[in-house]
Amino acid sequence: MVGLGHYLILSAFIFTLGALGVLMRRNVLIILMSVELMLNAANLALIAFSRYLGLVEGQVIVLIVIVVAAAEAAVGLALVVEVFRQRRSIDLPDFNILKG
Amino acid sequence: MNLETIGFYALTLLLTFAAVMVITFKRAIHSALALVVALISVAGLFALLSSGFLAVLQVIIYAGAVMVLFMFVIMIIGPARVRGLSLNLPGLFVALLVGMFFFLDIAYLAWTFIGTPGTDTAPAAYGGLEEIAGLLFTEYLLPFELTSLVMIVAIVGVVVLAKRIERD
Repeated sequence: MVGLGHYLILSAFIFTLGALGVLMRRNVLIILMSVELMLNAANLALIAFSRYLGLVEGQVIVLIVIVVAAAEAAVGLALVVEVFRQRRSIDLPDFNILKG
Repeated sequence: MNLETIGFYALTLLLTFAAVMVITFKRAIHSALALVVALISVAGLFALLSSGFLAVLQVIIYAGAVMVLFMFVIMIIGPARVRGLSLNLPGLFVALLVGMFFFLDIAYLAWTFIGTPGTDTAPAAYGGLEEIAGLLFTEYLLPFELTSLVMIVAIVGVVVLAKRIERD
């Protein structure tokens, strides 16, 4: 029987993979994708809690998280495009424009 | 073994495999395709948790709109210089350490739930779309309206950032 714990462990694993992607990759696009993975893991945990505790509030929160994540992806990708225009690169080490 | 258990393990396998592919593929376009698979399997898990509305939203917004955005940016940038995993050993070590810490921390919390009575079986009654809408437009009205503010700020910000400014 699949319980709350199973979903939480799956969510923890996906979150960890996303965090590893953020820490290990240099390609900014893949880092953004890893952030999306982490957000999805959090959403999965919220829905699992919501289902097993019988509270619909979790679904409302996930709805709002999805909207904010979409906005975040749009702004992040616009920043990537702008930096690519200036630097001709999407590698993180080339993003140190603000460094004095 | 009932259908729900089989579905859970199949989707878990698919999601884990796709997530590993997202962070290990060299090219961004391949990672994006793997991410689509991962997002759709998360939608399947939502459906298993009897949240059909969010499963549909996940497919439309995430696997649809957000991923199209990613594809467009990958097309704009083109096949840029490909760089794989960062290979400096200290960084890799720190990343693995932080990852292990995250996983053990959350998994320990989850493990305490497994034997606990009341968390093994889900309650039969669970609200559908009507209850979500009821909560969204009464108790959570302010956060709901604030998301529209977030979206308008994001739209204006993206237009300002992405517009090519003509310099004389």
